[in-house]
Parts: sequence; C-alpha cells; structure tokens
Amino acid sequence: MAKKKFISITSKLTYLLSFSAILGIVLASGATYFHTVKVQTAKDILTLSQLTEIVALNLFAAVEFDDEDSSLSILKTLESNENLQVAYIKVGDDIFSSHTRLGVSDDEIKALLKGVDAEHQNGSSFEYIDLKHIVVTRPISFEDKTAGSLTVISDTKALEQTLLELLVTQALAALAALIIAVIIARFLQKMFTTPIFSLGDAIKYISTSNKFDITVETKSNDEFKLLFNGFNKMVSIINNQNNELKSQKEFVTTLLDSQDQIIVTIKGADLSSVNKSFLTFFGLSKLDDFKEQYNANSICSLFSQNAPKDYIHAFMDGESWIDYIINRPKATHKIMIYHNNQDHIFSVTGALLPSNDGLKFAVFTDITEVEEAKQKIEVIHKKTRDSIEYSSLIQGALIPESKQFNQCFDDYFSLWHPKDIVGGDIYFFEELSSQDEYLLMVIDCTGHGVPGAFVTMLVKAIEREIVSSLRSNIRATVDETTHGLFDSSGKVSPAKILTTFNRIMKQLLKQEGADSISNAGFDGGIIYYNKKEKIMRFAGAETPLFYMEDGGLTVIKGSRHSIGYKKSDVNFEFQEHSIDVTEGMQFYLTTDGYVDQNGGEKGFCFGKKRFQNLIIEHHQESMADQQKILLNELSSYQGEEERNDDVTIIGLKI
Amino acid sequence: MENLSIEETKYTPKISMNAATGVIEMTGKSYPENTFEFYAPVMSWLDEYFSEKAADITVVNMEIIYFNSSSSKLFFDFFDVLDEAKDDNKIEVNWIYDEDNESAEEAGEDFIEDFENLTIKLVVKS
Repeated sequence: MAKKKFISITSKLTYLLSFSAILGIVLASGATYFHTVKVQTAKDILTLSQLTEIVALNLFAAVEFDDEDSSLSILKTLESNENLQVAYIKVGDDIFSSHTRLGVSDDEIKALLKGVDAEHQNGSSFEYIDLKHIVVTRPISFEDKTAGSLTVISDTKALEQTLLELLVTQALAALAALIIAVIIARFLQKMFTTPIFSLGDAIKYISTSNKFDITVETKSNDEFKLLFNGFNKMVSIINNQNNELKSQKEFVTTLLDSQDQIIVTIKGADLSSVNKSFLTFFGLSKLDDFKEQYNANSICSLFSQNAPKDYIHAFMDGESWIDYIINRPKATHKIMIYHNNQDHIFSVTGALLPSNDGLKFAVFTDITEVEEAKQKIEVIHKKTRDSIEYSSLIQGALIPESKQFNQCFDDYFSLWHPKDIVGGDIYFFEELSSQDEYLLMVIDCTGHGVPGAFVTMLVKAIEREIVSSLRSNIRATVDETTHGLFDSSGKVSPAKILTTFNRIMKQLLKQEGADSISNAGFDGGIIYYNKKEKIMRFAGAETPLFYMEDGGLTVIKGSRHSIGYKKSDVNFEFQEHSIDVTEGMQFYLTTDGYVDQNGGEKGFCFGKKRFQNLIIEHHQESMADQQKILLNELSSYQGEEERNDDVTIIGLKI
Repeated sequence: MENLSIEETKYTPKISMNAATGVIEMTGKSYPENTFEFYAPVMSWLDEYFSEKAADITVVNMEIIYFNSSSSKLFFDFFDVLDEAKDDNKIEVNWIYDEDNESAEEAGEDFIEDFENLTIKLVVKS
C-alpha cells in the first residue's frame, strides 16, 4: 500500500473552508452576474427601443420630405443618451443620414455596421445585443406608410459599469470570506488538533520511553474530555499492570538467580533467557555473549560428544532434546556438557510453560561430583560385594551336607537364608560316633551380615574343639570327662556344651571385664540324638524346640540366657530336656529370624503361634513341602517389609 | 538434669525421658543396626537419673510393637537397672501392647517372670 502523504489537519481545514468559501462566492457571483446581465440588458434594450421608437416617429416627416438637415438635428437629440454611439437612417439600401458621437472613429463605425448589416437588411424591427453593443432598429413609419428605418447603436458601458461594481463588491466579499475561512480554520484546528496533539505527545512518550506514568489534561468539557478520561484510565490500568508485571518479573528473576541450578527458557530451539547460574557457569555477563562466544543459539551444541549412550543428546529419536525430556517427565535425564576442559554432568528436567508462545524451560542440576562419587562408591561396593560373596563361599562350606542328615533321619529340611550374602545364623550337624550319636546345633549369632558371619566363624572354631573333645572322650569313663561336656553320669550334655560355649566365647571375646567393648554372642539350641537308645536331649539358650508327636505339638522353652555377651553369667547352668523318641516324631529348631519377622497389617512379629499353627496344619506333608509352605507364609506375611534377620529352620523326621 | 528426647525412625522408637516428672516413654519399633550403641544414651540417662534425685514416682510406659532379639536383650538390661533402683525409688512399668500382638505380649510376660520384684503391668490395647 502506497504511503499516503501527511497533510496536517490545519491544512485540510484551511483547504476545505477556503474551497467552500470560494465555491460559494463563485456560485453567488455567477448567479448575480447572469441575473444582473439579464436584467440590465433588458432594461437597456427597453430604454433604447423606446427612445428609438419615439425618434423614429418624429423622423417620418423629415425622411418623407427628404429633409436631411432636420433628420440630423432630430438624430442629434439622441445624444441625450450618453451611451449612444451611432444613429443612422436607412431608406431602402441607402443611408439617408447618420449621426455619430464625437470621437468615434470611422473605422469603429464601419466595424459596428458590418455586423448589423448582415443581420438586418429589410428595415423591420430588430434588436441585437452582444457584450459590447446594443443595436436597435425601428421602422420610420406613420400610419401604414413606411419611409425608412432608424438604427441606433449604443455601447454597453452602463452594463459594464454595473458589472464592474458588482465584481469589485464580490471580490471584496470573497476576500473577506477567505480571511474568515482561514481564521475559522485556525480556530477549528486549535480546537480539534490541540487535544489530539497532546494525546499524540502522550502516546509518543509511552512508545519511546515504555513508561506509563503519564496523564493528559484538557480544559474543554466535550467528547475530548471523555476521550482523555478514557485514555488516562487505560494508561493507569496498564501502568498498574505493568508495575505488577515488573515486580513479578523481578521476583521471578531474583528467584531464578538465587538457584544453584542452571535454569534456561527455550523458544523453538534457541535460548530465550538464562539465570545467573548459567552465566556464572560459562563465565559470561549476558546471554548475547554466549551466542557470540559459542556461535550458537542453543545450549545443545555444547552437549559433550563423550557422553554415554543413555545420556541426552541434541536429537533423541527424532525429537529435540528438550521435547524428549518434556515428553518423559518421570525418567531421569542426564546431560554432559564439555566446558573448561572438563565434562560436567547435569541432571535435567524440563516443562512447557503455560503460555501460548511455546516457551519451554529446562533446569540443569550439576551432579558431576555426585556422579563421580557414585562411580567411586560403585567400585567400592563391587569390591565389598565381591569380597563378601567370596566370604559366603567360605561360610557356605561350614553348612552340613545333606547326606549327613539323610543317613540319620527319614526326612528333613534345612532352611538357611542369610538376610545378606553372609549371615549370623549357622547350623552344624555332627556324627559323634558311627551311626548312632549325632549333635545338631542351630545358632543365631549377634547381628547379621559380616559381623554376624565373623561370630559364626568363631563359633565354628569352638564347635570343632568341642566336637573333637566329645569324640575323643565319648567312650571314656565318667571320671575322665573333665571337659564339662558330659553330665555326671558321663552322657553327652547339650546344657553343659552351652555352658562351655559361654565360657569360651567370653574368654575369646574378652568379655570378662566390665569395660569390654565386644558385646557379641549367640542364642541357639543344641540337640543330642542317640539313635540307638532312641533318646534326644535338648538345651536352648533363648531358643525353643518344637516337636510333633501323635498330632500334638510340644514346645520346650530354652533357658532365658544367651551365650557370650558381657552380661551373661559364666557359670550359668542351662536346663536340659530329655525326650524319648518314637517313629514319626518331627522336630523343629529355629532361630528367631522367622518368628520375629515383621509384617501383616499392623507390622507386628510373625509370632510363635502362627509358626506353631503352620507346623500343626502341615506336619503330615513332606519335609520339603513343609519348608516351601513355611517360606511362602513368611514372604506373604512380610509383604512390602524388609527382611530383618537371617532365617534358619531345621526340620527333622524320625 | 536434662530431659532426653529421641525422634522416631523406621527402625527406632520415639523416646522421651523426663527427669522432673519421672515419666519415661518408648513408642514404636526397635530394630536398630547397632542396638547397644543406639540405646547407650538411654542407659546412661537412666544411670544418672537414679544416681541423682529421681522423681517421687517413676512411670515407664513402653509400647514397642516390634523389636528384634538384640533389642529384647537391651530391654532386659534396661529392666535390670530399674530392678536395682526399685528399693530406693517408686517405679511402675506399663508394658503396652496390641491385643493381636502375641510376641509383644509374650515378651511382657517373660519380663514379668524375669523381674518378679519389679512392678510390671501388662496393658492391652484393643
């Protein structure tokens, strides 16, 4: 569109009013002129016609009687009309006589006559007028007789004079109108354009300064006042909103700048704004410096080439990196940025901002140190785990082989589940003399995991000592049984074995002194089984023995005393129980890991009662099935809870 | 002396020991990684409490819904201290447990058996 030339309102008003004035004057002048011409001409013709008629009447006799002199003197009277120029009498085609006003040249007369002659030949009545002349011809007649014709030619000076006066008057009027028009135009301009200009100035101020702290005033009370009030109100609203927006923006900027994380907004693929942390990280003072220094509008051009595959790259499956992150809000996204000769690792989140211009933002949290630490920890963890896993091989080697149980019992199960890879639970099964005397120990050492496993090693060493002592003395006489492993009648005594364990543990762990730092020990149960004599002896340290006989369950509580620990009494005597064994009896020895596992609705212990009920309910099933059931029940009770302790249960069937 | 207050965690109970009122409370679960270390401040507070002038009556409210065997041993030691102090102080222990919590009930009964001269009341919550 062609730009329209600027024309001020003043000019427009002046042009318009001048044009109107001139047009009015021209139209009025034209009308007056033509009216004046018409009226004046008619008047002049009438006057001249009347004069000519009267003179023609008077001339009849002179012409009839061919008296030229009298005709001339009559013609001379026509001079009373000051405009009359020429008068002549024609008889037939000849001029009878003529009179010319003094000072009119012959040439002029000829020119005048020339036109008249052509028009008028027959001497009848005739009137002609042009802008210069009035010509009137009247026949010179009396009654029915015509002697010739009289033609009078008058100039139009009277008309000209009238018209000139008219013209002058009207020119003056036109000039006055024009002046008035200009004055009115100036006034109107002032009235209309002054407020418009002040409004324009205000708008210009706003558009150049981008400030809205301005009001416009007008003295008049008209539509402009309404406009101004409306304008002021609008500007004030915008100003308030602007101030609010400004303070909000300052708040957001302060907030973003106070963050350690790098926070950027992105429009399309380009950086739109960045926070202070961004500038600090790249050592810049403003965003434009980034664009200049890295010749890039987007941060993704700095994503490191060294980044592992699972890191975010500039393009991911055909999506831009930021869209990829936004579309996967639950995943953890890592980005590597190469800067200052170092790869920095960031955890990045992103979101689409709730504006309609598609602005997105991304938050970069520097996790370089965390990642490095994580890697170190992973290495350490792997080493530790490898080490513990190897330890578990050693601990596993302590666990009795199944053939040992098989040669002694009809059926059995041994459930040994350390909470961690190694554990504080352990069990031993030893043949004391060929095929008829056996010793089973189920032991729950302090804690679990590595410290627990250490204690099991110690316990194993003591157990070897005890077992070898038992084996070498088992056939000895009563007097020779000085090792405290036999009762007064020389029989192998689990209760005495526990006391011996207690004594040795306390010695080895230096627990005799009150300031001893090691407070380790174990709870456990020991069964001595004499297959030949069909007798079983049991002693427990905080560990009960369960057994099924004829469909009924019996629980033998262990003594309320642990092995080891600072507080334990080195001379404590454990209670020993003797059971006559019959075919089909089933025995269960468990550490507290199983019954003490928390779970269920309220997070209570699994409990002894629940365990006992399971045994009663399923005792007729095979030992392998019972083991399965016990395990399933435990894990369903445990639910989401963690396993708290090592679990060991030994089930035996005679 | 100062009061002792320990916030509850997943593995340890909320503990509050008030020397002025003589009210000692433990609520929650108890299966810390290192039980003796965790309860060391409790035990030393108790020792100090009884070595200084204890309140006219000491009320111990224990509501431990779940505890491991080493916690059980620790509680034994804890009651042992109370047991030794009972001759010079008026001590009342409330062992509070849920009616469905058979293990807690059993433990309470065991403690009564172990410390027959100490006033331990079983309080069932239904």
